[in-house]
Amino acid sequence: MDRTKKTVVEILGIILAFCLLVIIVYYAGSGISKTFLKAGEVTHAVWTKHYMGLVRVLGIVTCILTLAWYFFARFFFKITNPFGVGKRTIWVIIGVVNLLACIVVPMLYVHNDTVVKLGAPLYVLFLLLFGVIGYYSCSLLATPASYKYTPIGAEKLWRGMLRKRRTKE
Amino acid sequence: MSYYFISIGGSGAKVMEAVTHLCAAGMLPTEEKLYIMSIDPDVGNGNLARSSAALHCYNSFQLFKTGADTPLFKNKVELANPFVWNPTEHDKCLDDVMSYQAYRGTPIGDLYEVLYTKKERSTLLNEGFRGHPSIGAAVMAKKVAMDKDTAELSSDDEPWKRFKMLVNQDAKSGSVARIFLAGSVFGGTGAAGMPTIAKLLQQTFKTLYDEGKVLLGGALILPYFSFSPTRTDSLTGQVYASSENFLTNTQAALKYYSVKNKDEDIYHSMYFIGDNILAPVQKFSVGSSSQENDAHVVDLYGALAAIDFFQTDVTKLKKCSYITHADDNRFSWSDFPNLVFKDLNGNEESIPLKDRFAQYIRFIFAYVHLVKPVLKDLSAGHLKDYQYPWFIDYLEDLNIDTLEVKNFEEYTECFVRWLLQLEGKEQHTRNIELVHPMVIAGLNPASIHGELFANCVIGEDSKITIHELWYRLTESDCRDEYADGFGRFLRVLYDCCEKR
Repeated sequence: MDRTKKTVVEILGIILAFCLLVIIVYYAGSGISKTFLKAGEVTHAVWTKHYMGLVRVLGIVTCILTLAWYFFARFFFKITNPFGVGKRTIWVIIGVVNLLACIVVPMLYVHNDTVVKLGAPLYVLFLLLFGVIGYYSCSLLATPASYKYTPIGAEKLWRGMLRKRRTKE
Repeated sequence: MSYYFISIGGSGAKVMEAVTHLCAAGMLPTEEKLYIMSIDPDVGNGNLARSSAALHCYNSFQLFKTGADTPLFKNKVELANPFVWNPTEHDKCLDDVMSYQAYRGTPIGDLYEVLYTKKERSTLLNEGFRGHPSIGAAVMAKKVAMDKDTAELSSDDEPWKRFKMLVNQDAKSGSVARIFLAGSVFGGTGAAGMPTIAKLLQQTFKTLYDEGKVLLGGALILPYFSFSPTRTDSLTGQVYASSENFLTNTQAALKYYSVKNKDEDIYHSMYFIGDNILAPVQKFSVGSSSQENDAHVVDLYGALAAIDFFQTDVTKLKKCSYITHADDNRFSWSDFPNLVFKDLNGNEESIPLKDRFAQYIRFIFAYVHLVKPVLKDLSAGHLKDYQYPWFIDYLEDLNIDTLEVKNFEEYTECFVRWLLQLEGKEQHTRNIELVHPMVIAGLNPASIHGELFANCVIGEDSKITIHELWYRLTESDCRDEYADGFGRFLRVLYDCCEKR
């Protein structure tokens, strides 16, 4: 696969992964909400409708942050000499911003939408799925080759696979 | 083995340096070995020291497993042992070599006295023949151990013993031994050796020579530099080469070759290479380590002449070859002859020199700029390896603190220095437009301007920036089963430097 095709596939892959995460977070959150929604308050059906809006916004924000890392690594970090390469600090910063987004975006959303009430388990869900699994897994699997070992743990993953393939050959 | 290269004297050594680089870049027509030997009474000659440094480095790292189907390091070399054959011994003059005392007073002794002046006879030959080929011709004809049978040759007769054995082996196996000599016709050692050694080789391999199993070619270097002796050298009355005599010497030598080669048909192919603009030598030297002249485009032509001789079919070999170049004041890639490569089925493919050399130049520059500055620190764990995916992919498990790797790094220094000298920045006699004039940033250690990398070869917009190269390095994989270790990494780097 040539580099352009690979880029398109990886970008689409990240978007698809976040679409899946949105669906998972929606259904998981919908289930979790039954534990903290009390009788007399907003009905579950209305809550889920508003909750879907939040999940969509959060999914888009975290997906954009994940794609930001990808685009930086693929198009903006130009290497002209062998020093100052790697850019792990930037990868970590985007990761932290992503985690913060998983808390701040729902808080702001709740502030503007009084229907959506969120319990602590839902914040954990957002952090876990959008923050950790979304950003980390996508950057682990789909960081451009020049920075393929920048995400922590990528070295172990890819080296293991490389060794297996070389042993087979 | 079928290729033999013998450099004679300082000019020959400079051609040998160019041959080394072309050989490392895989420019020889087939994958056969190249036997290299040097003849110089001035063993400490600076030109020889520099050219043999590159060659000795190549000899050390040529065993890197770069895999099959790659021109990179495809031609292995065998260096003569001893590498430099010195026809004279230390602190000997012509009288000692010719055993003059034994013949003194005899008719032979008298003739000898007529032929050589007292000064010529008594000058120590430690620093060569000092522009007096008549001294060198006598010494070489006496000292080359080729007239005995191989069985009679002892270890004292090396490197001629092994040379003779290899040529005979070639003949036995049915292959053709192509022997190429390079030396000047205007100085001392080359002018003495080129006709003498060629004649001795013709006599030694007479039968094989007549059968066409031994082919003899020569790059006869005509004047291309000039110098002025220092006042001290003039005052002390030393015997030394004088550039005022170069043209006279050359005229006499050319007449000699014209007559001799017509009568005796010694060389199968001769290449006369010189320059009508004589580049001034920065520092005059009678010889020894201070005789270190910069590389010149004539050296490159000499090396290309050797390749032409190696690649041309025996039926197409010309007594004298001509080559023209478009502009008198400049040299560019199109001025050089094409390379011809033969596959195992004997099919020939002609490729412009630039196509192959450009990739090799990028390869060396890439190593110097991207790899060398960080390799030691990476290996020692002083740098974070995740930053260098190519290190993790190819080098992390290797011990790179080896002599071969060190020699390769030393070789890259030699190559960059040679290229810079070839461009003639110091001489300002010609515009040699091969690589971008600003791309080489410095020497010792060699460094390049990374931002000029994509356009480092003049006339070729490769679009391979340092960033692109890095990308290619990190996404590619070498699937050649014969490539291994550090050689595998170099192979990948070389492949990544290909213009696509």
